Parts: sequence; structure tokens; C-alpha cells
Amino acid sequence: MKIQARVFVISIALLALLFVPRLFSMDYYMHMFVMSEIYAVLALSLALIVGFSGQVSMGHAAFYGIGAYVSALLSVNYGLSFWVTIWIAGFVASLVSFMIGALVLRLRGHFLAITTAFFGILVGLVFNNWIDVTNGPMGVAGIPRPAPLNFPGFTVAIQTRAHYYYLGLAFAVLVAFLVHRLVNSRIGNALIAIRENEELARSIGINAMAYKVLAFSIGGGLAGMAGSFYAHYILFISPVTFTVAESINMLVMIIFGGMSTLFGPILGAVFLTVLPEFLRMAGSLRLVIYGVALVIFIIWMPLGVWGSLKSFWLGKRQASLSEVGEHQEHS
Amino acid sequence: MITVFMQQALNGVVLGCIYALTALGLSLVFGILEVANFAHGELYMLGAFMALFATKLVGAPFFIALFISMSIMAIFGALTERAVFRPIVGKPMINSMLLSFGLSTALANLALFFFKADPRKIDSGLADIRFRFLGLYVTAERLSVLVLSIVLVAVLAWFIQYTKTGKAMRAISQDRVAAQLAGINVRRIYSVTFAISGALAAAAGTMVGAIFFVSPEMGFAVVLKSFVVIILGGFGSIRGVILAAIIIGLAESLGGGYLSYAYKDAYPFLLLVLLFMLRPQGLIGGRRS
Amino acid sequence: MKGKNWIILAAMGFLVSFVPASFAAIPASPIRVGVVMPTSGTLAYDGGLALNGIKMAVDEVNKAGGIKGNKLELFVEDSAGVPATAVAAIEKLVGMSKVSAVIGDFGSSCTLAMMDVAQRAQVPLITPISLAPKITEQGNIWTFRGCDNSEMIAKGFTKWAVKTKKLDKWAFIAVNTDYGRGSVEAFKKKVAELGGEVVFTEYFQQGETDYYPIITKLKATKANGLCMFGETVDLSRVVNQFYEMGLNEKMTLMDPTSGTFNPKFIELVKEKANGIVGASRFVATIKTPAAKKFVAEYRKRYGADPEKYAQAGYDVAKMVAMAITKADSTEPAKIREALSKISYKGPQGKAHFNEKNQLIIDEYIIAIKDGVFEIVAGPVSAE
Repeated sequence: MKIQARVFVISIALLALLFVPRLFSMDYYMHMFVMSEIYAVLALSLALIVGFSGQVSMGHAAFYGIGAYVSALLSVNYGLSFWVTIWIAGFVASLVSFMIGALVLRLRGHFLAITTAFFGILVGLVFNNWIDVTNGPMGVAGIPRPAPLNFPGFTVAIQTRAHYYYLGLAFAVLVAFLVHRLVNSRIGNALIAIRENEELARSIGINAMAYKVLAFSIGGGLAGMAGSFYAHYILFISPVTFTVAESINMLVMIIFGGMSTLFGPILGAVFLTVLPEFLRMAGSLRLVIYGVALVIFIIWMPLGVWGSLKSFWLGKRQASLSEVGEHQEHS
Repeated sequence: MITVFMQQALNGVVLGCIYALTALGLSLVFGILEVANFAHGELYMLGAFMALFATKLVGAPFFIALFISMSIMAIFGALTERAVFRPIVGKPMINSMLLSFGLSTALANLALFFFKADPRKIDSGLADIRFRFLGLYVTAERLSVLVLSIVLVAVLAWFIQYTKTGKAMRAISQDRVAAQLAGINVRRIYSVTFAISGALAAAAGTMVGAIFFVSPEMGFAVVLKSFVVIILGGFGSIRGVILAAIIIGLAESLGGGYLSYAYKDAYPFLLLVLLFMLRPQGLIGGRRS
Repeated sequence: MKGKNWIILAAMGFLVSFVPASFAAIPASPIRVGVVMPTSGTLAYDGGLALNGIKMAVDEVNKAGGIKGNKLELFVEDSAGVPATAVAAIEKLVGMSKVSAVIGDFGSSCTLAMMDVAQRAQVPLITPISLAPKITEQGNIWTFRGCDNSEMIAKGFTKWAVKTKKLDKWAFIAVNTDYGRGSVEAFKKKVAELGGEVVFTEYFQQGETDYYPIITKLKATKANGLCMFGETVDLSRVVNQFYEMGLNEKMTLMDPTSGTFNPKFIELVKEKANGIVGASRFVATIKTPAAKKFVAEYRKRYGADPEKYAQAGYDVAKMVAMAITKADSTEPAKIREALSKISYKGPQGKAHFNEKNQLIIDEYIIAIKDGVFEIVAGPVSAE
């Protein structure tokens, strides 16, 4: 009964989302929504790593950037289509995150956090200084839009922001579905076990390192695909977009929404993409409000909005297991 | 050739002193409260501004301004601890990281709003005095940074080793529960630790404000490096932190001069990765001193 | 399960409330002009200077009666120096505020990101500051560059430096951006053409504070001139540290793109500024009547001397106003047309756009003496 109700509600929600471009035709709003979709994917990919596996990563924007650059450069230099490059971007990003993960995931907590932050800085420096390939601070311009898809009888073009909205919606929904299946599978259970108590998980035969690296790689790969989408949407990329600040931005989104739920990261992504736009009026005080809100949040609602709501309504222990690293810090 | 090397090395050591001062405060807070304070960079930044105003508005000479700044930021540090960090002591590290990041954003942008983005420099009156020996150049300003750092570190070490409060701090960093059982007023020590942290950050910020610049954004870059220093140096170990800081300063200077200047900021990271592959527990012994 | 539903509905309701009631035809008065500048973030200070100029220009136009009786209204949005935010800003301006033209941005990354929107929305976009060559090389007729570029300056300045000042061994220290790299490329070519030699090139990240590693390296070379490309604050540190290491005894400092010709720089380095030579499209010491008037007004209003960013903002805003007047319409297409054909005279001299929408102006050769920007030669044509 529960599952049927859930599917019903999600279907209604998706149906409603399909009508959004009708209600908010202005490009200004569409742009916000498309960015929300991109961030939703980024948030979900990060939640897989941080929320479900309990590994604190502060360099996630690096994979976002790697995906963006791979996709952009392949398109601009070799004429490859977005529909091909997005997969290559995801693959390369997951490969890099696999290698980095294998290297640093033996670390825990703050050690891991700072190391990943510095990895992010290193990647940023490479973007900025490997002029021959990335064109450094000048960035990569003239990135082509996704080529129109030809189906028998009709053609789907990706031109207007509304088109991107639908594409992004499909992308986000697919990723959400993938993460949902992953988390509810044996892999997901292993990850949660590792998150709660890595020693214990090891002692019952779980190869913690392998699972952590797997989650890290998948998360990195998804971020790379999001990067590709971004590149072929804004049509121009440069290193300024892929900084540690951006990584922290993503962390804030999942903390806000609730990092070990599925809907939490999506909520966080949408809210924290749309909110700064509405706070435009506050000018430079906008970021002050943002920072203060974050402080208040961590003190009073560490499970995030969705996590707290969930635990409040369901009253199950399920939600209370969502705090990251509660056990691993004292190991 | 040798001169160039010695010059780069000397520059690196001065840089290292500044990193050491900043990282020491952070290390104390980390070791004793087990809180990762991302807003430490803002203590540093506000310290620089306090000193700037002291020299500009009140006309105080540099060292007095330094003292004023350290005092104000000590109080500010203690207040921050009570208001913001106390509720989350003992919670997972990621909470304090993100909370302090929010605090950092709020403070940096408040400073931007009130002080404006104008870049400024503290006039120490010592900048134009250059010393030259054996072909090496060093300004009086940088020399005083060296001297001041040594003095402050010596005072800190003495304080931790010989005073009652210092011993209490060490006790808590080793085992908080046992310290509480032994009757130590843990809350008071927390405030004192944060106060010291603020004072040291203010000193570092003031010195940087004199040598380089003062601006509302100066905190962010420095806080990441400080974390690397304390990870490299082992938490809670003063000697470790200083050694790590000097090594990082040298790495930046020598790496920037001989390898690639563009990748200068990555050298601390590369050292860190190297270290972790070889010795996961930090430079000097274990996690506690 | 109801919870999920409620949240979605609430969010949508919240957003719906912001949809404007109707999109009525653009009223003739007031005339709306949009501005995208970084008012927060690392570029906030410099962006603020450009904004000063823009606001002053608009107020001047309005005080003189506006354009055919209609006042100009400015809509300013913050890009924070982030491309996606700049895109949101320009979307808001053209979609919601319905502006007839957009002035912005400061950083080239943001301008480049906005160009596509300008073209799709068919609204002219003029940047008073951005230097990336691609801005005028992509055939985007809706985008204008309202300032000089590195190649133009290179022509005028290097000849003077090599022949007149006898600087034949050049060292370059430049900021790692399109501006810094593009400038170094342009200047290296010219120096070689004139028989000079390039002995040292290093780039720094914007916001860098410690230049000792490269200045120490520079000391070991035979350079007699150090050519710097960067913004005020970064260059102030380069210059300070240059002096601290005793290099002023060996080399002449050159600043051909005038990152240093402003009061803030003098304040930061004091007498170390003396002896710096360079070129600039504008300094506050230009003696033409238009320049003097501009400087006096700016001083009165802002309590400081204007420098090139303020001047560029001012001139671009004035040019937009002029284009609207000439087009006799608030239709963006007509304004674009008028802008491309404009012939303008401002505080720094004459200006017009070439076929690539690149502004063509004159440059001045400047030397700093006793804290004053002395005009040594010029105006020289940079075409």
C-alpha cells in the first residue's frame, strides 16, 4: 500500500512538473529551473558519496568541471555530438574519481575532507594553467547545443530554455531513479553499513574500500555528466565555475535538504538555486543571510529539511540514522 | 645561484611563520574542542581590519595596534565560541565545518558590506627599511614578523606548559571526560582556547595586512592552508605545526621559484598526499601532544 | 505521503506569486537601461568604479531633461563575477525589467556567457571593460566592446618604449587571464618586430599576494624593463615587492594597460609609483575641457579622482543615451543600429565602433612623476 501511494504521488508530481514551462514562460524563470535540475543531479551524486556512504568530499566540483571540459573540448575540437560526449564525460569523470578515490578514501573525516578540497584546488589550477588544452582562464567558447534528435515522424530540437528544461527534467529523474535503485540494493545496504560503523562492516566481511570507491566513482561520473549538460547549456565554460566554493555550495544543498534521503538533495538543490535569485534584492547582504541561515540550520536542523520532516512524521529510527559520521569520528 | 636560493628560502621561512601563527590557533581549537573552524580565516581578517583602524583612526603605532587587535579578537573569539560553537561540540566534524563555513560567509560578506571592497594596506612604518647582507634582501617589516612570531610562539608554549590553564587545556585535549571528572571547568577552557585562537589569528592577520594587504576576502585562502598545516603537523603538537608551517612556506617559495609559479598553491596539497601515503598519523607522532 | 505533495504545491504557489500580471507594451517613459556588474565578490571594488561612471552619466542625461523629455532608468543586477549568475541577471533584465539595452559585464567570462542571450533576445549588450578577443570575434552583432583592447595599445606603446626609452630587454609579469595572456602575446610580437628581446615571462593568479618567488628569479636576468599587466591591487603588490628586493635600481617599470594609473594605486605604493611609464585611454590629468569637466564633476560626487573604469562606464552609458536619441526609439534593434554608427566625443577623446563592434579610441603615453600622472605623449592613434 505504501509503495503504491508513493508511486502515485511521484507520478502526480512529475505530471505537474511537465506543465511548469506553461506557467513560467519567461526565460528568467526557465533558466532558474534548468540550473536547479543540474544542481539536483549534482546534489544526488554528492549525496551518494556523503550521505549514503558517509565519506566527506569537498572537491566534488572537480568532477563537475572535468566532465564539462571533456564534453566541451570534444565537441569544439572534434565535432563530436553532445549525445556522445555526455557519456564520455561521465566515463572520464568516473575514471578520475576512481583513481582519486582509491588513493584517498582510506582517510577519514576531516582528513578526507581537506584532502578532497585540495584535490579540487589542484584540478582548478590545472583548468587555469594548462592553456594548450583548456585555454586557461579564457575558457572554452562556442560550445554547440545538443544536435536535434530525429525520430520517425518528428524531430526534437534543443533550442529554447523550455527544451532544456524538459531534457534536464528527464536527466534528473533518471539519475534520481538510478540512485534510488542503488541505495535500495545490496550495494546500498553495504554503503549504509559502512557509513554507520566501518569497522563493524569490515568485520562481517564487507570490503569497505571497494564499496566506498564504487560510490565515489559513480558519484563522480554523474557529476561529470551534469558538467557536460551545463557546458552545452551555457555554451561557454571557464575555470571560475568549478571552484572549491562551488563544491561547498553543493554540500550546503544536501545538508539543507537532508543528505541521506532521496528527495532531500533535490529539495536542497532547487531551493538553494532559486533562493539566491529571490534574494537579489538584498544585494551584497544576500550572502550574509545565506551564511547566517546555514549557521542556524546546522545548529537546529542537522538532518536537513526533508530529513527532519521525515523523522518527524515517520518517527522511525530510519531517519535518525542519517547523521553522518556519528560513529566513525571516534574510531 | 646560492644567493637566489638563500633568498627564496628566507622568503619561505617568513611565510612559514605567518602560516604557523594562523595554524596554531586553529590547531588548539581543533585539538581541544574537536571543532573544525572554517571561520578562523575571518578572525584573521577581522584582526587585520582592527589593526588597520587602530593605525588609521586612532593613529596608534604598529605594535600598539597589533596589541589592540589581538585583544579585541580574543574577546570576539570567546564570544563566537559561546554563541555559535558550543551547541555543536561533540557532534560530527562535518557539522562544525559547515557551520563555520556559514559563519565565515556571513562574516566575510558583512565585512564586505561595511568596509567595502577597497584593498588596503597597514602602514607599519617599517616597510621602507631594507636590510642587505650577503646579497640577501629583507625588509624590517619581514624581519619583525620573524621576531614577533618567535616571541608569540614562545609565550604560547610557556603558557601551555606551565600555567594551570595551559595544563587544563592539555588535559582536555587528551581526554575530555577524564578532565571533567578531574574537576576542570571545561566550558571556561573552551572560551579561553577560542580567545587565544582569536588573538593569534589577529596577530597573523595584522602582519599580513602590513606586508601584503587587508581585504574582506583575505580569510578564505588562508584557512585552507592552515588546515593543511595542522594535518601535516599533527593535531595539538606545537612543534609539529611550526615545522609543518615552515615546510609549507618553503615549498611555496622554492617551488614557486624553481618549479612552477602557477601551481604554487598546489604544493602544500601534494606534500599532504605524499605524507598520507607514507605516514597517516601526521608529521610529529600521534594526534595529541 | 501527503507531505511531499504539500511541499511541491507550496513551492509552486510561492513562485507563481512572482509572475507579473501582464506584459504590457514598453512605455515610452521612462527609458529602461540594464546594467550587469559584479557588486559582490572579488571584482566588487573595480565593478563599483565602472558603476560610478554609469550612474553619473545617467544622472547627467536626466538632469539635462532626459531623452526627448523621457528619463533614463537604470536597472542594476549583480553578477558576482559568476557566468551563470550573469546569465540569470541578463535574463531578468531583458525578460522581466524589459530593458532596451544592457551595459556589462566586467569580467570577460561573464560577458561571453551573456552574449548568446543578447543575441537571442535581440538586445544590445555593451561591455565597458571586458578584454577577451572572442567578444568581438564571434560575429555577434548584438555585442559591443566599449573600450580599447591589447593589440591597439601594443602598437602605440612599444614603439615609444623601445625607441624613445631605449628599453630593449623586456620582462613580463602578467595576470593569468585572457587580458594578461592576450596582452603579453600582442606585446611580445611588437617587441620582437622592433628588435627587442624578451628575457622573462611569468603569470600570476588574480589576487596573488606573494610575488617574491618570481621577483627573486627576475633579479637574475638581464632585463632592463619590466612590463606588468594586472589590476591595481595585484600590481601594487608587485611594485612593492619589486622595491623591497631592490630591483628598482635595475629596471624600469612599464604599465601599458594602465592598471596603475589611478589614485588607489598611488595610495597603496606612495612614492614607489614614480617612474612608472605606460599608456592609458584616460587619466584624470588630461587637459581637454571635456576631461576637466568630467573630473571635476566626479570629484564632487564621489570625493576621488576618476580612473579608466569609471570613464569607460561613463562613456558607454553616454553612448547608449546618444544612440537612443539618434534612433529616436527605445526599440533595441534600432538602438543597436545607431550604436554601431555612432560618433562620440567624451572625456578621453573621440570614439567610434569598427565593423566588429570594437571601439576605436586614442591612447596617451603616461609617466608617473611625484604621484601625478604626467602625459608624456599623445593622444596617439591606436588603430
